[in-house]
Amino acid sequence: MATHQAGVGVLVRTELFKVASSRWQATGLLAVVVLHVPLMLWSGQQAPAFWEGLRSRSGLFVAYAVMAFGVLVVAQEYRHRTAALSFLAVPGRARVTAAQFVTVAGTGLAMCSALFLAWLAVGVARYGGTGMHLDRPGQVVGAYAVVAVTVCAAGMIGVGLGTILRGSTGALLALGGCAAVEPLTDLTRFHGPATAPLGVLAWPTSELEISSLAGALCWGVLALVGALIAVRRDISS
Amino acid sequence: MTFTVSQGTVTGFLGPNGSGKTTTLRALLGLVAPNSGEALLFGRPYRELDHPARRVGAVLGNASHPGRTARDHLRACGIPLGVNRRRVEDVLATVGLEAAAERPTGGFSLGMRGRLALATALLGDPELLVLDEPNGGLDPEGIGWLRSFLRDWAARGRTALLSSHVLAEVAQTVDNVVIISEGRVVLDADVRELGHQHGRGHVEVHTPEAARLATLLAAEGLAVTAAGGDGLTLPAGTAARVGQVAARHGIALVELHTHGPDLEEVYFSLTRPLAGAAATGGYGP
Repeated sequence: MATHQAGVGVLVRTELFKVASSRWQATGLLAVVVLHVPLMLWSGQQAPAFWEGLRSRSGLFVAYAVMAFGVLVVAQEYRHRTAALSFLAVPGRARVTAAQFVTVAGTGLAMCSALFLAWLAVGVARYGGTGMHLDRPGQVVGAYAVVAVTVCAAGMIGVGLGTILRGSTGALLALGGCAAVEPLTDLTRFHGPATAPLGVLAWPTSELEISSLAGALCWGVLALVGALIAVRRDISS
Repeated sequence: MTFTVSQGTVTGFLGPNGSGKTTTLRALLGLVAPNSGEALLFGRPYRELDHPARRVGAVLGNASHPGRTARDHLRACGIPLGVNRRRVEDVLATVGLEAAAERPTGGFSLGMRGRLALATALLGDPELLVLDEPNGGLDPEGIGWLRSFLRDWAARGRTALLSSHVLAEVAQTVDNVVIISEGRVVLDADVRELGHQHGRGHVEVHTPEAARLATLLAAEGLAVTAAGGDGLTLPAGTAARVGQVAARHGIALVELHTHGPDLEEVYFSLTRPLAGAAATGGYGP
C-alpha cells in the first residue's frame, strides 16, 4: 500500500491553510464570533435566565454557521474542481474527508469555546460566581460539553451533506428544508439533522434534552459514514 | 486497452470527442472507477503507487479557488506533498507566473490558468506528466510555449502523455501517437512513421498547359486527376517522371512538388472505422 501519502494531520493543516488563504472564509468565521460582542455588552437579564441561556448563546448561532461552513468547505472543492487535485495528491480519499471533518469540527469547537468562556465571564462579572453556578462546576462542565458536542455535530452534518451532494446550493436547501419541516410534528421535533442541535441548545430544561443530544450525535456520525462512502464516487469532470 | 509510453518521449493520446480519452486518463489517475477491468500505471493502480505525486503530475483542466492567489493555491496543493516554499517559487518561475503570483486566480486569463495548472502538476517533480486537452483555450503563443516546454521536458528524460482531439495541433509536439476510437486503441505508432505507413501523400504540378500534360502523363500510364485551374494531382513518387515528361515535350512547369501525407486524412481514416468498413466492403470479394 501507499506509504508516502500525507496523513490526516498534514491534511488538516492543508485545510486550515485553505481557509486562511481564501478571501472570505476566515473573515466570515471571525464575523460570526465578533457579532456576539454587542449582545454581551447590552443584554440585560436576571441571573437565572442568563445561566439558562448560556448554552444557546454560545452555541446556537455558531452551530448553524459551522454547519454552513462545513457544506461550503467541501462544496467549493467540487465547484472549483480542486477536489480532483486533492485526490491526486492523496488517493486515499477517506483521509481527505476525515481531515475536513476534523477541520470544521475543530473550528467550531474553537469558536464555541471562546464564546462560552466569554459569556461565562460576562455572567460572572454581572451576577457573581454563584449566579453562573461556579460553585457547582459539574453543571458548568456539563453545559460546555453539550455546546461542544452539538456544535461539532452540526459541523459534521454540514461536511457530510456537502460531500454527499457535492454542491452548496442543494446541501443548504436540504438543511433549510429540514429546518422548516422538522418542528412541525412532535415526532421529528428537535430530532432532525437541522434541528437536533437546536433542540438541546435552545431548550436547556426541556425533557427533549437527552434524546435531542443523542439525535445531534447520531446525525453527525451518520453524516460521517455517508461521506466516507460518497467520497469514493467518480470525479468525472 | 493497453499502450506503452516510453520514458523520455511525448506521446499524443488522440481520438474524436466522446471516444473515451478523458475517461481513460481519469481512470488511470484513480479519479473514476472503470466499469470493468482495472487501470494500471507503472503496473499498479494509481492509489497503490508509492508517493503518486512524485511519479505522476496531471493537468486536468483549470482548477483553483478564485479567491486564492496563485502562490497560495500552489502552497495549499504542496502541503500534502511535503513540498517546501522554494519548490513553489521554482514552479512559478518555470511556467512564467512570478509576476502574477500574488493575484487571485479568479482574475486569470485562460492562458494563465493553463500555466497555473501545469505548475500544480509540476509541484511533486514527477517523472510522468499527464495532460488532458492542454491546448484548450490557449492562444497560439501559449500553444507554442507549451510545445517547447514539452520538447524540453522530454529532452531531459522525462515523459509526457497528452490528449487532444486535433492531431495537427500536437503533431509537432509528440514523438508517438496512440489513437483511440470507441474505447479501443486503433493505432500506436511513431508520429513520423504514421504518415508513411498509413497515408499516401501526393504530387502536385502546375502548368499553363495542364490539359496537354495530363494527356501525355495518362499515356505514360500515370493516374492523373485535375486539381482545378492549372493544377494536376498524381500519386506520391511520380515527381521525377512528371518532370521528365514535361521536359521531353517542352512544357514549362510553374510548380512541381510532393506533398507529405495529410495527417488529418490518416486520422479520419482510422477513427471512422464504420465508414471505412463500409467502403472496403463495397470492393471486397
